[in-house]
Amino acid sequence: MFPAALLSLEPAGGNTFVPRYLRSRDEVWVRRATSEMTDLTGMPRAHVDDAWACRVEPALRSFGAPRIAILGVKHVLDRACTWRVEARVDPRRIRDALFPIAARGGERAEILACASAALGVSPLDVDTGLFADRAGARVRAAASPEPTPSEVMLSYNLALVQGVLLRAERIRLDVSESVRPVVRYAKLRGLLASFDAVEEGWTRMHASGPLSLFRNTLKYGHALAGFFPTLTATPRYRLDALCRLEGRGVVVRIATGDPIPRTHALPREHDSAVERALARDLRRLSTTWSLERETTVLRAGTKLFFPDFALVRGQTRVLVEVVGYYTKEYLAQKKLALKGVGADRIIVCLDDALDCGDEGFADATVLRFRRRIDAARLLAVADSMGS
Amino acid sequence: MPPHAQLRFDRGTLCVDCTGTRIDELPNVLWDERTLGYRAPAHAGVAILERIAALGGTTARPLPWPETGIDSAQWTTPALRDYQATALGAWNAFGRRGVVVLPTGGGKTRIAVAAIAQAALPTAVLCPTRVLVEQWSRELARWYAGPIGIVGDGESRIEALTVFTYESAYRRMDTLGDRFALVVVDEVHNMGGGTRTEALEMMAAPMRLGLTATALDAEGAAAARLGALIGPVVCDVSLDDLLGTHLADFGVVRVSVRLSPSEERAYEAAYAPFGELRRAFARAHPQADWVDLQRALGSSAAGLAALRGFQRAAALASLPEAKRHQVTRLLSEHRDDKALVFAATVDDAYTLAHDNLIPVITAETSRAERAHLLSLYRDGAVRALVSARVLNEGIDVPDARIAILAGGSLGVREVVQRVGRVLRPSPGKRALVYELTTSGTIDDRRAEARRRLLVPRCAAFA
Repeated sequence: MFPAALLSLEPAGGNTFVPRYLRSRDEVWVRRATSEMTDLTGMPRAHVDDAWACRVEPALRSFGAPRIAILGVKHVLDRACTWRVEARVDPRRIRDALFPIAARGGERAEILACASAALGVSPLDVDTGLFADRAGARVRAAASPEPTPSEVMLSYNLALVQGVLLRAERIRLDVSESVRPVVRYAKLRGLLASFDAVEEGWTRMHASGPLSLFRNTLKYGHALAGFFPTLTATPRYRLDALCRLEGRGVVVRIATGDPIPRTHALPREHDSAVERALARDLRRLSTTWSLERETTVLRAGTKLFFPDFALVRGQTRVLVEVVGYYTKEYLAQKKLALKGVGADRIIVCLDDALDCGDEGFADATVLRFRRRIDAARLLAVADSMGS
Repeated sequence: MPPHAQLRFDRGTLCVDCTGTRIDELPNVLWDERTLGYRAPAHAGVAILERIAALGGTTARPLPWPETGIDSAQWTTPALRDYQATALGAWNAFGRRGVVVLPTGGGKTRIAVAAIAQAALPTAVLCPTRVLVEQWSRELARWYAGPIGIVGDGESRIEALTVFTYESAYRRMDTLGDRFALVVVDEVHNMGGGTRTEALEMMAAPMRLGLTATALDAEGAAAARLGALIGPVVCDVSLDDLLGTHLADFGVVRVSVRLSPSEERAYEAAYAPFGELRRAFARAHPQADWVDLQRALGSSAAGLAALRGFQRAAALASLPEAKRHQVTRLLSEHRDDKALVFAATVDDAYTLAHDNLIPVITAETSRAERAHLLSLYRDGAVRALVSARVLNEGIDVPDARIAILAGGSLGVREVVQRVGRVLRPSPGKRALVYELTTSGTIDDRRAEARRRLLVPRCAAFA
């Protein structure tokens, strides 16, 4: 994920921007940058940085490359390789031996000679190795294999988008397919999300976190940035991120077709530990009920709800919702949605640790649990509802 | 019907349910369309509770913070000096909320330990650096027999008494914000108005104690935010109040050096474009400040190049050859004393460490090596340490007598903190502070500006 100084955006009208991705137009200079960096293998990092600033960057600018993009590519290339310590003796050992000797006093040459005798290396090795483990003194080791220009560009684009999302206060996301995994993953990342049906076939998700109700906060940027790779695995999406960049709020638009690599497969299951344990326990029990993860989406007006899963036996379907911090108003909306689709069997699993009163759930069947939902009890409740 | 409220902690906020009064009239409570419920930031819990109580109502138990927790028998309460007891009394009088301002070496930690022991409730201590986390946990262990948790610096162990880095607190308080009744914020000026204050917003703890050696400007936005999240300054003890009694006396020696001819040429070349643009900007915008100038220069390629030149010039002036020689001379002159050398940047700190073969502690130093070096220093096996900013605050070095300020750019607060490092009292001690400046450069002008602000605070800087 790029730091703020490397975020490169292009205006897209009004207060809206799009990431300035690297595309085929940039391939020539990215190829040159990659090759220059490979040539600097074996050099200390400080030397690499100097060479980049004094020689490589001006050369790349002559291709018309923007400075911020050049710095971004360097950021990607720096992370693609390893930086090794080059010293005859572990620098930490040198320091442990040298400093107490130096504290006793004497000329520099005498001190280095004394330490070198203790360490079994030359005084020059002691002198040059003293801080050889500093970031700037480490030596560039070849990446294995060196990334190709197109790999560098894709890594750049992903780091750019994630850097933008890291500074997002909230997002508005439209997804047309594979909605369920996106919903599950957003929930797992601790995001507060609400869902609406928008135009035909599209679901709109607004996601942020609890604190964003009160202030512009970047607290959920990590969750939003971490959530993004899942999105790239969906066939069609469009995302507007409200970000705070250089102190002002801007909208950054990202969508299907942007040159961002697909790094993740669509997650098949993304549950809380409670839901995972329940699914496992249900599998172990001999039961005629089967567990269905892709449940019916419930609709109340334009609002959409996604129950966690359903227990299914023949034509009977009982929806199961593991309740977080919901209120009676939330449940009332959900009951309305249930009635709307003609489904009125729902079991609400309520975590005792949340200390929620269950008066708000008067019309629903409530199953209280602590840490782990009792699968046998859940099935018994489902049996009583299904009979 | 009298109001009855229920507060449930939810990821750094409170879900608020209330009957018998208009819920949206409670302080900081808003309707959350996403969950179709009322919500307040966690720090507002105590204000809501007080409002409900003022209306003659009740709040359901459990509250979103612990009401029992630490066995007071596990505490040994430290003895307090008179001014420390006054500070603690003032904090109690302000409802156990507020900031204590006390010079470095004045015993802020001890006041906090007494406050925690007195409250005997689960407590979070928030520190700006990893070094301070380690130091706090060591200090708390002297007075508290139970386990002490640490979150940060590679550890994540939660106990009733837990020490956090600011960063870890910011990341974790959405899940841990209901676990503590008291929060102590060390070096609270560092929290300022930045995002890290959100850690305090996400905590429900009703009792809050801020500690600092240098209070924030009372008129500033950062001070207002800290005032809302921690409380007002309840006690302010100045350096002059304690010098010669509870703190060692000190003298300041100014050493002015010159750039070498080649350095001077490089300095002039780097500085000239900036100087020219600055003069033109000042003529056009006489009321503009430094931030305005930076913003204006940042908007053009020539301006950016000038700013980069300015930074190069500042770096050159902060540690020219002559300063390096002076540091070596002073360390040699004070070979029998314990000295702390402060540089402007991490790179400068390593340069001085390499020149003089003395240990360096920076943010790059690992926790294990840092502990080892500090123990060598305490034992006298090494007699000088060099640092850029890590040693500015908090670190307890009882008998350091010499401070060499080789460079710095953070202004008055930084100088006060650095000087404070050598003021821990011991019999017959008089500390010496060497301030090295490069004449005719930015370095010199900055030092002069600092001096003008320092003198009213402490006569020793005159």
